[in-house]
Amino acid sequence: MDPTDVSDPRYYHKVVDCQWACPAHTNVPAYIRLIAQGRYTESYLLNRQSNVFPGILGRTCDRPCEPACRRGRVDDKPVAICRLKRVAADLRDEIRPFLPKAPEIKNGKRIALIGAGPASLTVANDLLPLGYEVVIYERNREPGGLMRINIPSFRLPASVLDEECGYIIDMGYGTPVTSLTALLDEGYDAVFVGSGAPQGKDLELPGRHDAPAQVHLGIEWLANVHFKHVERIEPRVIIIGVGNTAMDCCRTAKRLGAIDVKVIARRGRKHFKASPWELEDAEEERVEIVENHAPTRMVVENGHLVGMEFDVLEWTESAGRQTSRVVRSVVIPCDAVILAIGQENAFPWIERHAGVEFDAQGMPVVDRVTHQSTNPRVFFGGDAAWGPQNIIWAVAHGHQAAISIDLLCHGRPVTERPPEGMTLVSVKNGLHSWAYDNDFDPAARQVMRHEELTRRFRDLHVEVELGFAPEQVATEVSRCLNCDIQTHFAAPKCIECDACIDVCPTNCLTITTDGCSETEMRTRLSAPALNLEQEIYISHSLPQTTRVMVKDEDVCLHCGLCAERCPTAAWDMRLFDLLAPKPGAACGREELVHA
Amino acid sequence: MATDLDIGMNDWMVKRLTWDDSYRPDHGKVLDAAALEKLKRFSRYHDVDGDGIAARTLPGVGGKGAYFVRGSGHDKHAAYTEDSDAYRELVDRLKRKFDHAATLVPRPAYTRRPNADVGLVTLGSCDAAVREAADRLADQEIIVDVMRIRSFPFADEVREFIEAYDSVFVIEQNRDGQVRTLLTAELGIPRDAMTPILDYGGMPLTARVVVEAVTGALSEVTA
Amino acid sequence: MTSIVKPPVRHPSLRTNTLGLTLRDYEGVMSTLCAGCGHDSVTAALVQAAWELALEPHRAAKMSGIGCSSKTTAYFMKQSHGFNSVHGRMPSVTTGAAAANRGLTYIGISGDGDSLSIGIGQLAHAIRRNVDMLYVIENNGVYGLTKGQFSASADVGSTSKRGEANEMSPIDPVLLALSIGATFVARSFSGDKKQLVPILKAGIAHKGFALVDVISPCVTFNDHDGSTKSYLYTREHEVEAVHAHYVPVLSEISLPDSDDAVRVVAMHDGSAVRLRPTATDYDPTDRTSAEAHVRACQDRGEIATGLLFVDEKSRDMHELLKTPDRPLIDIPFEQLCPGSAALEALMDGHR
Repeated sequence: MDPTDVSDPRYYHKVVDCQWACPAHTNVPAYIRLIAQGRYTESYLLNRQSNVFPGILGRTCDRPCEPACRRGRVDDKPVAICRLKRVAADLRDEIRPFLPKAPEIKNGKRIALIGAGPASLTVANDLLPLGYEVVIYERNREPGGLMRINIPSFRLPASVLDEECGYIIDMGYGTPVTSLTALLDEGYDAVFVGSGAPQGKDLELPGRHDAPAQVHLGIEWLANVHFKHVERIEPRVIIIGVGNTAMDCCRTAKRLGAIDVKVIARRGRKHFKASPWELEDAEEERVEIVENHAPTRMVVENGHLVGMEFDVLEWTESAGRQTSRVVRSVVIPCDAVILAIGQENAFPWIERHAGVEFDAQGMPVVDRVTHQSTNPRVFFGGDAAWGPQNIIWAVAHGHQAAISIDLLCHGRPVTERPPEGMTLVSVKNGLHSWAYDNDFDPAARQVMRHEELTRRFRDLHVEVELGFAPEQVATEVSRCLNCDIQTHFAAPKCIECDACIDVCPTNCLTITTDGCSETEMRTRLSAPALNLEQEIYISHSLPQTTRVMVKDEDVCLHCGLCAERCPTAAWDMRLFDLLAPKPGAACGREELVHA
Repeated sequence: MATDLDIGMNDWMVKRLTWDDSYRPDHGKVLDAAALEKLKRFSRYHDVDGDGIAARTLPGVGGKGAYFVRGSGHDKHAAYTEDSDAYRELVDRLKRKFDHAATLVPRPAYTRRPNADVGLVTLGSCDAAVREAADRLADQEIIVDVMRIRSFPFADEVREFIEAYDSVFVIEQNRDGQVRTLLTAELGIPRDAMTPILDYGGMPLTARVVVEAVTGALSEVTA
Repeated sequence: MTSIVKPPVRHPSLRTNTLGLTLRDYEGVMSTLCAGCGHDSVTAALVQAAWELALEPHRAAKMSGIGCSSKTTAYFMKQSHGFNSVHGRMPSVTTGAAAANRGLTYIGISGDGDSLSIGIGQLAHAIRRNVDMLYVIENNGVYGLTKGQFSASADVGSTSKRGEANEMSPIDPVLLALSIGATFVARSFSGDKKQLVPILKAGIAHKGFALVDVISPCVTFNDHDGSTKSYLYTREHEVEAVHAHYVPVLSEISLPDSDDAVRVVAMHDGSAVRLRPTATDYDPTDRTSAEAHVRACQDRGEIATGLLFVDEKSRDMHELLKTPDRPLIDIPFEQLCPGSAALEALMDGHR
């Protein structure tokens, strides 16, 4: 096999599972270490570099990092990465002095951002300090987009939103956009569409429109609650759909007077879209989750909704395909129904002749990398680009779109993406002394403290999650394995004494003869490398025997014992820092540092 | 040399030996497999009842009974340690064990005559010569008591005996008065309160050496 | 010396042996030897061998004397008995332990200083008595605990770290053992676990004294250019004379080996060792042949390794001394002590 090229930043980046899984590539281990050191402000600022909204995401992120977390592979449960982010946000000091400022003298380029949600705000965040003039168009009075009107305040307090959006926006706006062409005619150099997927999907069923006052669309209803157009709901409520919006709806209903709330799902629990922790939180609040029920009809008597009819399904799986069989049909009595089965994009203000092509599904044709539409001056990101995703994705889109806009405005092809870089620095302080805590802490994942049930229902705005207590923070940060402290190997120094192999607690290392396929190599190791999603590292040939050092990255604890027991420092522990591309850098940054 | 050859080359007569068939050895605190099973962890040097003696196990008995006998610093679990507190705990236990042992070891053998005002302290093979010396001193109207120390650490009676006499002699067969030094170090008895009688010419001790030393010393005091 | 405790986490695909234990259950505490010490690899090989043999940890006793090598008994099988005895006195302590309890597996770990200088008399007599034990010499040619003076196994001409050459004739434990009747003699290299692990397993299975001399480089004082016990020198000069393959159950060797050169030695416990000499005319069951071969290699500047000699028909200490077939703790006191009648008869016999 070819030796692994660790000068390619992607290799070590992939070892940092959480950072690799995060669409915005948040440097998780580094910010957790800063929390461990009590440096909350720095931790917050490090977060903000990549994910822009640490306080918001620390409460609402879908956490793609946590299923990826190595700790979950070695110790049952991942590090509570998301809620540690909130710790940094909660305990930080004033950060405004440390934020980049928009220069007085502008660069002469004007950018329009449509919608003041996370994607647009990220674009603004990235471009304003470079001297761009940025104008945000938003139909609501306050910025935040779905973060504000669709996420209930018991999960995300308005104050957190105000603060983090406020870091970006200190300007007046409030103009809804009615015409893209009109906007383009105003002389903007580029337009970024981050208007979200603002329309709830409807469900056409018999009786759907017979009692309109009692049937709501999930995100619209949540928005109405936000704007105080809705302040009560009937006692018995059925929610159709089992995504995170459904979870927000059922829990909000509980706070607006509903007593009996049922969430109805077409399939079994393992297929639910909602995050497991959101399901848990809903169930803690005595919401009933009903599986395997397919809605067939709304039962309306004398213009009044009295229940909903369902087919009870039985699912069987064969050859990877799920098929259902109707077992019987039931009517579940209710006084209101909330449909939370998804969201759709809507661009009534984009004229057909604006140069933006749409596909058969009515979605704009957008390049996956550059975010450019078929009109070179128009870019899409967030839910507006490819339909509903999570906030962290919108942030990632915003960063990439900002790079594209920067390239466009400098007359460079948007496909000329700036490369990722890295720094790789030894963390050796001295004999058995490293610039990180390498001792493994067997502590279990800390459980989030919640507000008491009776108190949470008193007010719609009582935040349910109380954050981690200080001792919980201390424990949880120590669970992080510091995967960004890389095991770096220098083959020419190795004397093949086997010390690293003998000491490795998780049998990651092997010295063996080369000359076989990766598949075979994976079976030859000290412990077979069965997790194919994880790389195996192959060294250059070793000086004494021409064999190779092989490392299975899967359950490496980054404890540094291989480096501690290495007599020749062939193994070293090195801090990997991904240098993510940024606008500005795109047009003339010096060659990025390679290790 | 002649003595060595005598012992090595000739048959010696001894008194007929006896054996008590009712004797059963007392192994002390030994944990068997069942007792070990009840423990969460066996700690070889953990003193649970305050007498300084920790229970032991026999090799191969019970899965939890294994421990490592080592010369390097260890804790009560017999595990290697460089922790001062853990080490001190262990050494303090040994002190308790030592003190406790002093109450269990063989008592000294001694005489207590009502009119004696001289005490002779000795040990081991000196005993017969010292007892003979005591008889001869009685002939000279010097009444002495004799104590043969039979064990170390010293039992309380050792101190009581020494403190009971105006004149105390420690009779031993070495140049430096090692027993007297031990009595001073262990019991805190002033060195000068005990007069050494040292015999180290290589031949067995005789009563004459003792008698002469005692009478000589006593006449010096009265003179 | 390492600063942290080895994390308890295991690789998810780590297998268990017939006792349900993983390799990690046979580990000891963290080594405090220098990083890269060959002894740590020998320790790892012992862990591997004990795990593969599924030794019951509490039925094994690890014995050692003094020196870097003798520290290693703490670094494997932490659930086993261990005895860190006086310098060079491990063979006698083990002889006593084995006499009292013949039911345990005795693993003695010593070094070239402990065995070939201060303890050479002890070693010689344990070999003569054929004490049933594995005796590993972690041989690095220097006194590592006292700044690297030459030991008795240092080769003539080999230089110290500062450059002076050794001029005194070395004691080769393999030749010593062969000359005084050892019944199992092997040599291996800490950097070659493929060879070492089967030898250790066979040595444990052997009934009698099994001497395994392991070249185990001292990275701190004897891994330089002039050394004849460095990693590089050993790799370049090692010539495997006999390759041993340990077979847990003899009956599994069903067919006669197609390779004429292979000898199958049935071990006392029902296992077997397949021995494949790599040199022609070499018979690992013939003491004279083995001795001649090792000496010839030495003359050529080669290090003969492998399971060099085995005599499985020999009688061990217990057979020689006609001791009871059970450990003393399993024999009731009434049987152990012959009582007053026997004493009377003894005394009458001397009248």
